[in-house]
Amino acid sequence: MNVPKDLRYAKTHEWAKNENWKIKVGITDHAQHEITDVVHVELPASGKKVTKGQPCAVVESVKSAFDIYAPVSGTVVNVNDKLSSSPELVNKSPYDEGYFFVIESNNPSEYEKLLSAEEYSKLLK
Amino acid sequence: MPNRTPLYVEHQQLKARFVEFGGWEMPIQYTSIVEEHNAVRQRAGMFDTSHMGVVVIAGADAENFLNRLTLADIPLIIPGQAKYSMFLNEKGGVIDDLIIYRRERDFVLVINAGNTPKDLAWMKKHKTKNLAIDYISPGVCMIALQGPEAQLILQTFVEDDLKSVGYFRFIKPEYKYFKPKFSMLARTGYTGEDGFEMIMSVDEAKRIWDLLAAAKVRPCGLGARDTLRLEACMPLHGHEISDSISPIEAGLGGVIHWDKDFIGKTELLKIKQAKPKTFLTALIMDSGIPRTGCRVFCGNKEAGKVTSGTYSPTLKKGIALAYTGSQYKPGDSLGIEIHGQVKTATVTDRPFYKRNKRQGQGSSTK
Repeated sequence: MNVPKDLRYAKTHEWAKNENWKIKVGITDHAQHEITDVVHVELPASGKKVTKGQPCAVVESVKSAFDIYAPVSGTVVNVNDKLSSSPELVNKSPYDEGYFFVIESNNPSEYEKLLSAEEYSKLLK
Repeated sequence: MPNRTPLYVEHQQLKARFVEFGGWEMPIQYTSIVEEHNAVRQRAGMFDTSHMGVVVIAGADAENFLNRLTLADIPLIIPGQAKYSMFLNEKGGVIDDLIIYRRERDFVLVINAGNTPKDLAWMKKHKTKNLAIDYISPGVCMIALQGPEAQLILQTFVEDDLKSVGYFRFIKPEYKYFKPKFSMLARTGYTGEDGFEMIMSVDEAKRIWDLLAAAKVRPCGLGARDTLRLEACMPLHGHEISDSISPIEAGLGGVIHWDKDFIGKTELLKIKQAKPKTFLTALIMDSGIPRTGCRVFCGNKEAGKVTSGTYSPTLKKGIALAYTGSQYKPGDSLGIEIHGQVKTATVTDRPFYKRNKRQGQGSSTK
């Protein structure tokens, strides 16, 4: 399973990428593999305030729906509109084209407390 | 511990993901529900349906017994013919739906896995003197081969001319490489495609599974089985039909033969004569995926409940069957509440998917 070194991770299988305290969020390669065919993604509206650990999006396979939890608190400043017409990007490119949204974080320590790639990899074993 | 079918090891080797269904540990998918679904629509897929209950009804009273317990006109069914039917309770609700196969000397019933104990108890309760009820599932497997190329593929393993096996007809087939002690091959299915269902003794079932796999037939799990049947608007017991829903309310009045006595007839007649209270409505979403239990809205008013909802790999949209309190027509705009938000759902004709019939595929009526 691909676990990029430069990202941080939540135990609930979201990844977070710090781009100047704008935190890009998606789900991990492991998560997309477990879900298999992603057929719909329900994203928060841009401008929405989200709280670390609270559900803020839904990803759906043919059979089931899975909650996505905000890895950090803040305001959603960008959502990946491509996912509404091409949800399969989550399977094809979980760390890049299949990202979910960007949160402007107001609490750097939340990001720092997320798991490192090494810690997340251990969790998958 | 849930039951496992004799093909469990085969599924494990194919890296299936398992789910418990009707007391059985069954493959939900092997690689991808969407790919498995599309394989059946485009070429062929195979399903282990050995969880289904298989019961042989024999004896001098068999015909009368089934005529009283099911909705079918049993004397009209000829040997080699299959019939979709139902067991009703006294209130007109559906205990189970089933397929009745009439053989020369007896009847074979295929019933739902989860309802098998209930069905067997029901049959025993109404058992008459000259009647044998034999639950043979432990000794047989059931494999469904479904898809436009099913006949072409299966013909290479069968001596009989499969072209001559019409829709809802069955034969005792001559397989090329083996001779199962118990064997039936029917042109039936639960996918909306052409195809066959084979019931046979366990050892030979493993061999035909392997032969089909070698012919590159894609193994398909219960996930694809559900999306395929829902696109074809085939009912699932516990969803569109149940102990508290009559076949009339389910839009399946066509299976009722009124010119005979059967259990549930008195109440069913009352339901037929009364003003209908519920309607089965088919809906397509603009966006979002409806699930069983989601509420249906007409404007701000609650109008019904989803019985089955899924993502349709063929339409690439969310689809649902729902019970509504009013009758709606195709094109009407309703709403379905998904994750707390009401999303647009358009009423459509049933089924969502209908195959193009090709030549040489059995087409006699069921």
